[in-house]
Amino acid sequence: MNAERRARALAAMTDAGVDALILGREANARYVSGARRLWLAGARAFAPGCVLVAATGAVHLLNSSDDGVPSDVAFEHLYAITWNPANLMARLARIPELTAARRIGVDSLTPMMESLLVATFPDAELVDGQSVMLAARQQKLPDEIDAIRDAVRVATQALDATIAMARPGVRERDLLAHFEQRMCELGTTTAAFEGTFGHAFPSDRVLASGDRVVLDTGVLVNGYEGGLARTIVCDEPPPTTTPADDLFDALMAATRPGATGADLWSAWDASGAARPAQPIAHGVGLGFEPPVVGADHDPLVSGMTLSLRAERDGWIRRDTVVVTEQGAQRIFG
Amino acid sequence: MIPDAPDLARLRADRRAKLNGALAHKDAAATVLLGTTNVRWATGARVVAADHGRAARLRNIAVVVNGDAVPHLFTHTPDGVPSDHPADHVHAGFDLETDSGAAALVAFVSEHLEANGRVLLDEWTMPLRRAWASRLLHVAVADAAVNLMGEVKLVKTGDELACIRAAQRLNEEAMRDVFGALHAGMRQCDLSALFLRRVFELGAHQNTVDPIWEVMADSVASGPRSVTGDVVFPTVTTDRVLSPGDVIWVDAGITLNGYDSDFGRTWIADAEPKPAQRDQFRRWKDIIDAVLAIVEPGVTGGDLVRAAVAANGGSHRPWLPHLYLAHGIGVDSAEAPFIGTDLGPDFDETIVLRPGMVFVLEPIAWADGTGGYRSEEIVAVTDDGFELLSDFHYGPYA
Repeated sequence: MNAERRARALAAMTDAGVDALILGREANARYVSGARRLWLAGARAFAPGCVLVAATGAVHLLNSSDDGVPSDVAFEHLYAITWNPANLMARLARIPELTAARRIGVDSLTPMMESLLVATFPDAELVDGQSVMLAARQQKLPDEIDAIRDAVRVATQALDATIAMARPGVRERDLLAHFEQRMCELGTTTAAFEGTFGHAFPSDRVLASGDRVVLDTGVLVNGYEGGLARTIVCDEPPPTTTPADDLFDALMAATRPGATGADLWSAWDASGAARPAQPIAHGVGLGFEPPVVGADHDPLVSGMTLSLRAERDGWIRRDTVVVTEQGAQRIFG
Repeated sequence: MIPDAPDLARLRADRRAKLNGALAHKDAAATVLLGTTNVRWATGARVVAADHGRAARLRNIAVVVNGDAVPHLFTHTPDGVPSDHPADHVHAGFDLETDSGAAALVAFVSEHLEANGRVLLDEWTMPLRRAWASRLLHVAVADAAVNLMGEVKLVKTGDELACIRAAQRLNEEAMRDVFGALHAGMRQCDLSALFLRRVFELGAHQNTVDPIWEVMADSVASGPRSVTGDVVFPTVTTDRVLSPGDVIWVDAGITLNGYDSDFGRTWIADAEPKPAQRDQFRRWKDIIDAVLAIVEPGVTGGDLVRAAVAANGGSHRPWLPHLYLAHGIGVDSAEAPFIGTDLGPDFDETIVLRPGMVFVLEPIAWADGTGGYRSEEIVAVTDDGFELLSDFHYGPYA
């Protein structure tokens, strides 16, 4: 998978006329390197954490050891973290293909990093590398779909265990605590996001019999996101069907190659359900990805993986599908 | 100096005043903040903890205009907005990964900007860089992290220190349970399971780092191959099964009321430390004690480095060469001041301790064959010395 992903990134670089990529976003670095690095919550400012050069396909990676680094990333291409920008730039300048590059793609920037990179690579133009990476990542390889399936399985099993303990007297935050515990026991210690259990910020509220509770969760397994949302009623068996199911099926039926966000909204509106505040569909892969239905307008293509979210009368259901020529297929854990 | 419990409304008001004062002092027209922790500091608003990609897409944004004490907050998470944030300064979130979202933010900034004012910005998304260039190219942009946020975060108020202490206490309470449960035969991820369950039961607002339970190699040569030639830390948690006698370097952090904890200890699975291992702990403790003995306002980072090196026998710096003897802590689990980095001795001399500064001391004692010893202590500088914000035993070493 690592070689295939890197080949896609290199092809996207060729299409965009980019000689090298300097990547700060973990999902991009993971895509081209396959390396597992430390998970941290939140969006951090750009730093040159990974370099991919078009001429040789070589990956250079910010990592102080070979722990978690695939063997096809040369040990000599690893570099340790540094707090001194001069040392960091000197290390990057030792990558000959980077010094020779005329167009360097970056996936984000800071004003300070921009001035440092411009000073270090004065002959190069800094261009949009994020769109290059998103183009490469858009259509999933079979191995990537398997990886998403693994993640969906962990999320599903952890959520099933959590639903089983959602009894009267339990606090919302206990549900989050239990989900995170089961996720780890299933071998995954990284959340895609800390889930909704009644509220987006699970609270001290104690569940009472008959309370309807929305549970929305996501985990990262080997970097890939699997997640789902379910709605339950406290003290009742998990419902076999909910008012959100028909809407979900309608969304799924509209999810096919060539469809746009407008087509998904048409399916939604035809159901009579009120439009929700949250996106009704967004890409998933190495975490949250485009397209986001509501914000993006490009048509769907075969091989995309999407999270579809149906909401009707307070009942919410979310599942992951892959877009195929035959239509959307659910990825079951 | 440190209240028993933080007053969060006072905390937010103090931060807003400090930020606006800094903008005026720097003659900046506005600051535009995208970074998760920078926006959290400026506004006090919460977002759902998420990995980098999702967090970037659903981020809060703060725009602070010089002369307007209240930040404009753009959020996808209205539940996370503090109740005292004026409603006319809360707006629907923008998605800065799209051209339309970026253009909307640039339009807002453009409307609220005095002509030719300088703007301090912490981060560009690529769509934001494009949108800015098309409409605000005439506006000078300087780095907000370097020129603004580092400064305003550096010296904490009593409320901020109380927040860090509360986060640390919660973290430590969870770790007491993990320490008690630790046994050979458990997997690293089982320790994470117990830790994460407990922190959320205890009310943590988020987990901030994938908890680290590194089983230390017997020697540097037998461990992961190291870029620097030194002992490797951290390595990421897996389902590795713990064996009797494994030396485990523990590192974890959570967030409560916007402020981070940082827990670091060394444990041993199902074994008492051997004499050589106790020697490692004593050397680590000597280093900590030597550094703490001189902490007071006016002391420099260089002084702390010299004290640590002297306590370590005078030649070798007892920490990893690409890391530091100490780092600050606040809304970031590692923020300025960084002491003992490759920025060098002259830089360390520029760090002068002041009351309200807080740092995490994390020296390392290492000798092949022992698994080494690494723990962390959080030190708040007071008017006449220091106060420890961490309080956890040194078992099984002492």
